[in-house]
Amino acid sequence: MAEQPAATPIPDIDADQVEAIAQYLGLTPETIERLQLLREQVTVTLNAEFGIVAGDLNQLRSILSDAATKLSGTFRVVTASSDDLRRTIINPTAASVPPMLGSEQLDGMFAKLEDYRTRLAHGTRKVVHQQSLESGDIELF
Amino acid sequence: MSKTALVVDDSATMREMVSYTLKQAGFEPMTGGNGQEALDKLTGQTLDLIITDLNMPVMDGLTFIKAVRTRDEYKFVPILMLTTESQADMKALGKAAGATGWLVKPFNPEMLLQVIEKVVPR
Repeated sequence: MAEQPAATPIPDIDADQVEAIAQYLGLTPETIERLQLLREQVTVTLNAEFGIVAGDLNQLRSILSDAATKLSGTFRVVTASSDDLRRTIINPTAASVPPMLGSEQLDGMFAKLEDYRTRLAHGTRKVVHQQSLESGDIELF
Repeated sequence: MSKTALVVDDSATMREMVSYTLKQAGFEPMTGGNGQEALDKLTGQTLDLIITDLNMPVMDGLTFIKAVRTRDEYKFVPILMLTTESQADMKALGKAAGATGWLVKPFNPEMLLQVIEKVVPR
């Protein structure tokens, strides 16, 4: 594939060049100058907007990264707990179920589970969503 | 003389972004990666503003605010929570801990500066 030529900056043009270009294009020098001004202002506006959007994206990336780190940490804890539980259950040397795990405690845990299920079914869930970048929640106490 | 602010967040990117915004407003930012790290940096110097995240390892934002408020020299420093949390009960906990305001991420730099103008006396 042929290599693309490097973009060259457009140099400032003087009055004579403006007139020559205007004559060639059949436009007035004022029109050419206004076009130049328009180009400059578009560039300035786009630069500023790009900065804002890049900043917002950077924040969102950071939030997602934080969430991923926390999720990963939680997953590690869950995995470790699960391993501990498995070791306790299959440990042939264990004389009996540890004393804190009596049938009463298990009944209590099942009741709690049922309670959480009910709350999950009826509660409003927090979902990950992108908030308006223009107006986050702000509250002064 | 420039004002000093302390930015506490476990995300380095977020610390940098908030610090950058604060610098634009003439603040000299200090940073901490969690509540404990930030507390260790509070050695009695004058501080005009604290911006802290809520969920952080080692010491979370609420514990950090409570610890800051126990120190006489920082009792009245404005503290803004900047967090992804937006539930009313969490905000109530923040208020009870001693936070001055609550902002939900992602933040708009201009908005943040407007809030700072309101809470930091000129």
